[in-house]
Amino acid sequence: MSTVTSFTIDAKLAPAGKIAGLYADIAAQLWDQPHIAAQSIELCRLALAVQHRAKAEQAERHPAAKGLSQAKIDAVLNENWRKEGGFSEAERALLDFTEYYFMDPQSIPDEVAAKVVGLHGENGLVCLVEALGFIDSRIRLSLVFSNFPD
Amino acid sequence: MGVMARVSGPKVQTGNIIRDSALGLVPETLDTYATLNRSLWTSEHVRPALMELVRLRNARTVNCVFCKSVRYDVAKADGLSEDKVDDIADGWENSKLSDVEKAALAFADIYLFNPAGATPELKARLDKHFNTEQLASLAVGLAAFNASSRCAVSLGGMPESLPVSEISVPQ
Repeated sequence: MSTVTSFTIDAKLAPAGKIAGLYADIAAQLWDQPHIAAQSIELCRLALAVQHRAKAEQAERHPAAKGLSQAKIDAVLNENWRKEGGFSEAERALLDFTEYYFMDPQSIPDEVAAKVVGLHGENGLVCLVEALGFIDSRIRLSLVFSNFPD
Repeated sequence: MGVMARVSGPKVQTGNIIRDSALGLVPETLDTYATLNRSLWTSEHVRPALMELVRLRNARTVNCVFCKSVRYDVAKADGLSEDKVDDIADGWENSKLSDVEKAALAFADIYLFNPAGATPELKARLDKHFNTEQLASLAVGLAAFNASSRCAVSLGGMPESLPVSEISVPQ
């Protein structure tokens, strides 16, 4: 067995052919769009990794998120970002949404979604749920394949 | 669940349900998203009826009313019946589904409920029925369906229920 993360899962999926390439392409495109900053997407990825208790995933750093402060990374990894003062209101809205998303998308309160729309626009909310969907699915698959013999 | 839709779709409608949905607000991924959705149903590795069972198991679990109400015509043409759809409810292990179908659902359930709980025993069960290409294809399909249905639920506007309807794969 070898440890797999969302950064390495594509090698496991490659035998699927074209659809694996398309799935990887969308995941990559979500780090390079104008709606949500890559640094903010990275905070959400780390928050999902924490919720999944995915240690190897937590140790990864996405290259598109260069410049993200270590203090913010630590606060997310230690699950105390709500108490830390360094986060912008826009980042807090994304992280709050992400935690509800992980628990159950049905549980997301209207006011939490409205906050994201207010600070990031409708395009931003759609981009966020797309990104969460692809990151979450890649972490889930990584956890599954990490427990499968090579 | 958010009753009111949290975003509006794109202003220009094309007749393609993916492009006309809220996903149209993120044009950077839209073409690839539409191509992936189309390609999942023409995979050379997994039959449409089996892919549809996995999609519907995910839809039930996420409780995406839109996703649950749809049947893809390619899957029905490939042998998907409403009896089979009924069998994917909780307790499917004791249903009349085939061993291949049950193995696919076991894979879906570990992904959906406890991905860290996957075991070598599950892999051995999957290996009895699927080669590497087929398992990878099921994985991509499941991941894409899960991302889509969670997206739909997150964006609100989900009705309490919808009648079952058959649709073609958006081109």
